[in-house]
Amino acid sequence: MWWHPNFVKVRDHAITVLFLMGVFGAWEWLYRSNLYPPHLFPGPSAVWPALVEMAKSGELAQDFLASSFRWITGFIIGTVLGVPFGMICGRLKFIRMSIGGLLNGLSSIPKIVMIPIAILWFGLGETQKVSLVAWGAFFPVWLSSMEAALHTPRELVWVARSYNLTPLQSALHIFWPSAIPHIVAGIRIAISTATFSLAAAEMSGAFSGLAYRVFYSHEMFQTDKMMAGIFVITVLSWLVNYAFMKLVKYLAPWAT
Amino acid sequence: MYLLTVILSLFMVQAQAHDLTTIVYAAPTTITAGIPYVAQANGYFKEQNIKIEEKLFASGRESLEALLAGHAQLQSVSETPFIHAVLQGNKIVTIATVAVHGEAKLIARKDRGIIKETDLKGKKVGTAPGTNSDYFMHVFLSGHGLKPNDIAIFNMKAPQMKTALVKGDIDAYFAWEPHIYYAKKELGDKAIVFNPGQRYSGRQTINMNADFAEKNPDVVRSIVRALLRAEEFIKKNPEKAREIVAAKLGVKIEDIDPMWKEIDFKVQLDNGILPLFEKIGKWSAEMNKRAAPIPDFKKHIYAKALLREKENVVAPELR
Amino acid sequence: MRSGYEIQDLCFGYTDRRRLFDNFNFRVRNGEFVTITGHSGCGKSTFLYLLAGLLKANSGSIRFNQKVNPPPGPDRFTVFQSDNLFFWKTALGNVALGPRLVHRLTKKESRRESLALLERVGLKGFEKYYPHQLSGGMRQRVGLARAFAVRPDAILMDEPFGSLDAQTRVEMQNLLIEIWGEYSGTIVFITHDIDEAITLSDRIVVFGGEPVHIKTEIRIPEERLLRRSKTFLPRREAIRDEIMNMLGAEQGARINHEDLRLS
Repeated sequence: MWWHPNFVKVRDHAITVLFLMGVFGAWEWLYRSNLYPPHLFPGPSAVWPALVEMAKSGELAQDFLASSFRWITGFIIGTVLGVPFGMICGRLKFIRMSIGGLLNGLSSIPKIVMIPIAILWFGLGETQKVSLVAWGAFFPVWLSSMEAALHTPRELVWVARSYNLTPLQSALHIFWPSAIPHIVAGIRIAISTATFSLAAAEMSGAFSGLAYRVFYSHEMFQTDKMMAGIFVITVLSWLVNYAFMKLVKYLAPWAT
Repeated sequence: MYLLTVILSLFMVQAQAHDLTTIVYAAPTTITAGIPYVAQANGYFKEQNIKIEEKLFASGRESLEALLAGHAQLQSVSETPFIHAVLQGNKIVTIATVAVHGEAKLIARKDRGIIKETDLKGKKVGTAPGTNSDYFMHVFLSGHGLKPNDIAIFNMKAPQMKTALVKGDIDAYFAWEPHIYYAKKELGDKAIVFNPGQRYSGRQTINMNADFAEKNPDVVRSIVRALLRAEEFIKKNPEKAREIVAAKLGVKIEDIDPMWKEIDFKVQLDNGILPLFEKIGKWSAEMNKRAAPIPDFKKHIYAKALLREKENVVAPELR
Repeated sequence: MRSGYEIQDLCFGYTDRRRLFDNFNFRVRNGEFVTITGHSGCGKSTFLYLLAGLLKANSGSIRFNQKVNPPPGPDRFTVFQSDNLFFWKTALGNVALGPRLVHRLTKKESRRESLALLERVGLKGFEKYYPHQLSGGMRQRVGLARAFAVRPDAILMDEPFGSLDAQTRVEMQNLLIEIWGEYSGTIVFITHDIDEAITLSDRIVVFGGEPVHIKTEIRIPEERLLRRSKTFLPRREAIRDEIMNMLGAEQGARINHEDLRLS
């Protein structure tokens, strides 16, 4: 009961669960109300069998593996490039003013527009898809790293100067760690943008993948499978975000 | 109170105007929809006391969605997406087809060793899954004794195929006009185009929701009448008709010329349509590994209106 | 050779037109605890940053231990009012970074030294806590330990206890005096709290602006331990009145000045 130490925790989880049940309930009610054509807007009771069907036929596993590979590889490449490059842009004015400005412009280009260029450079295989995901993940990480390095608290920089640190020591002991909370925020956004890019990438040259399945099912008017695909992507995005925040809490409790 | 009355009366006026004759037509951007374009441009719908509100969509596939969602009462699309939608249980009917065409084609690179049909074996081939050119690929392969496994298939969106072919990421692709025409223009002698010929003739279908057609038989007749008038006009004034279509699509007349010749603009429900629907339906069901029973396509062809207006263009089995 | 600060003909302005310091002269003896007070924006903090080498004088000289206009270095450590701990490091990590990087101590040595300092500032058992897990007072204790850990010749403090509650403030003042007694060195301290100034300083300097000039200086030779006693109260009142009068007079003068401009 309320005196129990876990009461607040249990109550908070109960709120989440009740809310989700409400959302699913409303969804199902809308579906059954025939307010929208049921064929175009299947409810949970119609999507679930489609999901089971996809799981049983092995389609789901295949799509999941294909998308995971593209997402994880691209995400790692984008992040690993974005952080140091952003920090450098933040600290070195002439790089920020040249390449930084160009990237800033490029960052607002929708990923879908990049598909023809990605095909031109990387062909139709996995390289093109991974590169698109990396492209999508890069920008928020790059931007947040740059902003963080640009706005390192003045007093911290002064402490570094008082310590007579070398540029490398300053980067390692002051600029990089003080940027981490911003970078964490950037990475959380990158989790979404990488997923957008994955969707764009799977629009062409793909045979499997969660986003490909959504597009294909849509093409075939199989809205139940389409919704199932969207549902899986939603759950996975949530899980990745959750796992990432848990990891941050464990590795850098001060960064959240 | 006064305000409420005013608002209510406004709604009633609007509702009446709507009931009277306004039909939202979800139109694709394709030359094969030439007949409805001309009917609208020349005011033939208006002559029949029908106010058509035309909404243009990038593809027939999208305009079909507008019909299914109830945002339009009339729309046109190639037969293949129509069949997919029917297979998923949507209650829609074709009231007529307005063009028979060979738009779905194969373009291949000669310099990659593709001279004749069977050379496709072992090559990289692009296709847009679920489209009529994808169906053409299926027909083409089986017609030449090839299996899907004999080629490396690349699923793509049509606009990206040209780039991929020119760059050499694929050796050939199945698509529809104008995506073939522009690639051929760019590649010139390096490319060869295979026409579908007798294997497959695509149809531009005019569709409505079944409920709406059943409840408004007079509206359907008026629409069919207007379409027939447009067919007449195109036959008599092909030059003028091309101008109208080119203006609608926002392209030059020269650019639609080569395709125009390959289209037979005719309002009909001929004896080829039911077998075509059934073949595509079978293909769609197999491709999607769904064991749902194939519906009776006769129920998805609303022949009553055209039968009244021009009996001889309706196949006997549909009467 | 430690010889404290000697400032001669210091000129400085953030812009060319406005000179905050115009041929300013000042001296801080080695080992002296000097407190600077004055109205907000009169140039106290700027002066401190000039002493730290974080800002550069336009002309004139700041001598510190025989060095002329030295760049920032570990011999002068600044403690700010705002929370500027390394939030990604534990209390121990915050204190130990200086000794490790500045004095090149081994991990083990710097750890031992820092643990001793943390114990000294009353944070035994809190070594593994991150700044965000500590209270404001505890964070300033870590800040003090971090400053003393590099054993600077001068510590420059910019309203370090400004954001603490009265109770904690008194605790921190006592702690500062104690540690300072052990580590020695010069302290230049900025505060708005006159009582704090009286409790801590060898000398209180009231700044006026602008350009910055010394309105008054008060030496307090009395033993610090006695300053919180009742017998010191009259003297405390007297000093406070003097400083308040100085600040008040300036306030009045400023208003008159405004009036003149308006008329």
